[in-house]
Amino acid sequence: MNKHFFIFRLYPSVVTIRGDVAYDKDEQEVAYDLQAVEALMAAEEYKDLRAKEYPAIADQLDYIYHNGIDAWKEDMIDPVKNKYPKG
Amino acid sequence: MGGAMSSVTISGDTSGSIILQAPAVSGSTTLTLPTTTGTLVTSNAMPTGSVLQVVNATYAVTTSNTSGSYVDSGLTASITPSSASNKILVIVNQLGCGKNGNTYMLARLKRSSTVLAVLSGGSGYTNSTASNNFGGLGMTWLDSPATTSSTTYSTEFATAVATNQVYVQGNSENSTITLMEIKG
Repeated sequence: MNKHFFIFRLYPSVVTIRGDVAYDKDEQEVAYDLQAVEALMAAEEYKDLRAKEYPAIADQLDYIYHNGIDAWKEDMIDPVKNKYPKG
Repeated sequence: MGGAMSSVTISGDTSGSIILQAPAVSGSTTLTLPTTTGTLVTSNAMPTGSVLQVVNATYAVTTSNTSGSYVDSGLTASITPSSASNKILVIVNQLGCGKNGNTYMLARLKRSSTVLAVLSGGSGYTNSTASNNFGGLGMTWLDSPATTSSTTYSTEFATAVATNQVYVQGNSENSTITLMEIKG
């Protein structure tokens, strides 16, 4: 997720962003709180980090098939969640 | 040939003449003629298909859109054709493209307000809300603007599913547009 994604999240009236400048549907500039945006980015960074580190879905399904749900959680999911706790 | 002549006149076979005229410059310049049979090309009589001028522009400001309405990507370049019969070869590389949420990118090439071509009709689609940095969109388009006025080419983009973000020049990647005037 990039910074623009979080600006859109916090400011629903924003539809276009060029660099650091946000605009509404009428191309009027929309002021935003950069600190709030960056705080939200930091708080949700764990999602990106986890998503990049989870094994491929096919590998996870294969692991569940051979080892069961509990082993899948313990061996594949929990280590990533613990490595990147919620912000 | 030495001497102080500023021009040489060659009479035509049946009429008229050609004057080889030295410009008013200091110093001396040597023009070496080709050693093979052929016709000299002048700037006013380039062969069809010749490249007459090249314009290039880049843009690296990350630009996002969550609307289904097209907005300018920021990538633009202008060229003034020397003849209305000439063509413009447009080469576009729109880089740093991506999406967040369950959507995909729509993009197109424009000459002023006229849409010339679809650059993307569904790029980045994942059938999921997963983010997707899908890289670049490229296009080569041969246009016939039929004008000698300054002509602007640009790209614009939109999201297929409103409120879900699409973006170009992500991570400040350099998009480029090159315009080549081709002798018609």
